Amino acid sequence: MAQAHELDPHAIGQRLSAARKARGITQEEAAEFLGVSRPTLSATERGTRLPVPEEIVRLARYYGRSVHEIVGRREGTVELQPHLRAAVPPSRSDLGEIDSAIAEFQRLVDDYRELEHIEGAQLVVEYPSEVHVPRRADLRQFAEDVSERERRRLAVGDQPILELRRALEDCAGLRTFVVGLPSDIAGMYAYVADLGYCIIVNRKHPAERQRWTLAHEYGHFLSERHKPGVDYLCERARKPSGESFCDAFAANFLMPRRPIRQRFYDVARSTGDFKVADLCKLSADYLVSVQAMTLRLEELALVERGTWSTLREKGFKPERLKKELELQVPETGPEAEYPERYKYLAVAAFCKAKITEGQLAGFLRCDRVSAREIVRECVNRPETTSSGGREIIELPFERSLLSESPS
Amino acid sequence: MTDVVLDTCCLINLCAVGDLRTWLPQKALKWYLPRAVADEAIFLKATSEDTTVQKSPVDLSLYQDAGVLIPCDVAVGSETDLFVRLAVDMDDGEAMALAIAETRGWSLASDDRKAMKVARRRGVQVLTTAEVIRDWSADTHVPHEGIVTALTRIERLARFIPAPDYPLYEWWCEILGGHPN
Repeated sequence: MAQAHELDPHAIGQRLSAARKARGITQEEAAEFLGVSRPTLSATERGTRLPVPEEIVRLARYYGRSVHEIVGRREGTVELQPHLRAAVPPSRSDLGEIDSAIAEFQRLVDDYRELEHIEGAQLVVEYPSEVHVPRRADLRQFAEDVSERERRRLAVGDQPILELRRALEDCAGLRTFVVGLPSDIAGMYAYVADLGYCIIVNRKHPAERQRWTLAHEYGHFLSERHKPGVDYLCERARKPSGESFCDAFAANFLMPRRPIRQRFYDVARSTGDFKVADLCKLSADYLVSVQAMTLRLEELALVERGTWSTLREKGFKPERLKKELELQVPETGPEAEYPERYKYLAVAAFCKAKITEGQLAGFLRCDRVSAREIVRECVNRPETTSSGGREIIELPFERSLLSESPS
Repeated sequence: MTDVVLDTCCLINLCAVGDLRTWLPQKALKWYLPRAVADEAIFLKATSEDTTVQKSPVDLSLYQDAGVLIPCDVAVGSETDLFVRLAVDMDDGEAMALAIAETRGWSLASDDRKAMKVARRRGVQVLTTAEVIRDWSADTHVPHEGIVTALTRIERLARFIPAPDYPLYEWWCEILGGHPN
């Protein structure tokens, strides 16, 4: 248990300050509530004065936070808010919603670092060196070369990347989160010391769009990983070369030239045509939107430029056609708020009695009973018995397979 | 009469057994509900025959109004100091329940492995859901089917399955006729 002198005044001050701001409370109001002067509260927030326990409890309640959130043992972390906020136009009317999303991004990043710290399980990843987008070279060709290199490096071959999020997490070492953002924001990205490259994707968007955003943000990781940023859905008349590179990278990474051309030729050869139904099937196979696939086919000169515009003008409804063709896009979009590894770290820490059930529920962003279900799903595995039946094996997560005999 | 302070983990399990007003007072204990536990929204989950899961909130005010659960908060001074220090490594519900139990010499009702471990290390007596159910059934001569129903409801509605190192794990398994569900 922590001793009073072990409470970190800087961390506590920083969290109190963030909690107060998130609640829209001024320093004057908080000082008056607490019955101290504003300079005293200011000193507390700067970390030059350690608040007494009663003050911590009262302020936590006033700000709608738990005491654990304020005093919990956590490593100092990079503040994302100022960097990401700088990438958002100040004229937007939904800055409050954006700030909330950034705050949740920050909490997820902090929680991930905390879980790695508790479990002593830092992800060891060797990132590829950054690519420098050449000014005069053909941007599309360059993006294609980089995407081919990355597909080789991640060993995903020519096939559609069914588990894109998992590939980026497990093989590339990225941390991906899914958070509700204003609808016109696709995602955000930032490099966090001791954790690595972190991405958030908009929860409100369909799985296909989320995959595109992930691939696009991966392009940022490869080309400018130390620069945090925000990506929007809206088409800008003239995109900066960095954004154009990321778009071209995403297109090549998700829909590589050679296999797409091959699939197109195979259909055209066998049927003598390439119909809208074939387009829908191809987009479903590659887990991208019909729009993204049509534009890719246009880019590869397989269909005429303007095909997508024409289809839209004629009232083409891709979702309706996909339904008629019974083309189900597999549920492979990044739906969970946090990565699989994050979930397993939390469950393992709980099974080893390193965290309480309340902490587990906090890490997993759910109520306690739902957290219990998640634990069961992780530790109980279905196996086939020798007679062909099915049995559930409960795995003792806390048990070491290296330091003790399995017998 | 022994004073017992509840943490959230145990409270959920006890609520799953049924309306606390109908059975908890039969046990000669005084049950205290810390503010941090009362502040936490708790739910039970029922699965219907068509496998639809329904999340139902537990209204603790009914139990407080009936005097079954007595609200309590950390007192200014050493109790708050201990609560804050425990909250560095535990969430508020477990930390406050333990701080109150330790400073007032009460028992802690908990099923949380970390909270039980810390409490025992600090010399706090721990009471688990299994012990509460076993003693209640013995005191009030609850038939075997009644105990089965209680444990089954805990497993189904609170999704609580005891781990092999849980106190009275063997008893729990025996009542339910083998391995927990």
